Amino acid sequence: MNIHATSPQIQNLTLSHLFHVPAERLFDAWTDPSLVMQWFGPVGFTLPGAEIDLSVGGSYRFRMQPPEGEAFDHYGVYKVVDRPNRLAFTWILENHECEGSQGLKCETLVILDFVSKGDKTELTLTHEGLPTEKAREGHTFGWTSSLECLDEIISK
Amino acid sequence: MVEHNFEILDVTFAALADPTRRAIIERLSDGEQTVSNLAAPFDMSLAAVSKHIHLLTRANLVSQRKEGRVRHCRLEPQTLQAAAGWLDHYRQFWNDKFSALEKFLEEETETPVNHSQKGKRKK
Repeated sequence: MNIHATSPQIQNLTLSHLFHVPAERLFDAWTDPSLVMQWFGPVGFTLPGAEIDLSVGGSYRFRMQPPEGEAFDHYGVYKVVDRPNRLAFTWILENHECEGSQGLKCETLVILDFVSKGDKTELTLTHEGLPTEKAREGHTFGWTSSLECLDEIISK
Repeated sequence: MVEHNFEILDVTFAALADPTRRAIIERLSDGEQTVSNLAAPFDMSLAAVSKHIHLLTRANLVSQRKEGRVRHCRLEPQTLQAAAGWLDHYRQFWNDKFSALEKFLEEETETPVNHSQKGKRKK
């Protein structure tokens, strides 16, 4: 195990990918409800609804429909809206179905950086998964619920 | 479902939510070190660094052994590995999203191209 590489990234997850479209188009795929609905649903899920208030402090709300069972909402608040360079939004994990998670929620931050490379765009996603100590104090925070809910959400 | 020991994870993440403690872990990833060696590069007292090490030890991220008067610290990689587990979940999730987005953009690209060809033919 290469710990040296693992430890500095323990709090953050970073992914990069080169998409063969201009930055504006890639940015819109994340922020136009009619586009988001066509690709964002987890595997096997559909996204029957998406509401987006694309402004700093505005919120988004995606309706997620699992193959079986009740639909639930995934939502958060935009922190940075800079088309077509940067988009940042909170990522709140909340689920009332998971045992022991009633009333608990976990707020994390997702940052998207769009870098134009000719007619292509490199997208770097950073998911700050671990709140700072200060943020921990400010939020009702439960890793138990968030991990269990995440398992429940993505294992389907 | 993957088994996580959530209570331990909570303690682990709390211990990691500090830049000094993360730096200590990074330095220990090169191998065992004495407490005074570990403390040397930090701009703080030995006592302050010891406190951080104590917290890391309590979270089972670091273990200590005494050799005479000298305390040695080493990393406990399995704890860090468990904490990194949640990252794997998200890595998988976002990888899936990236694939879905790429597929969607490709399909979307094909449609307008067809339209413009149609348009040309009409002319």
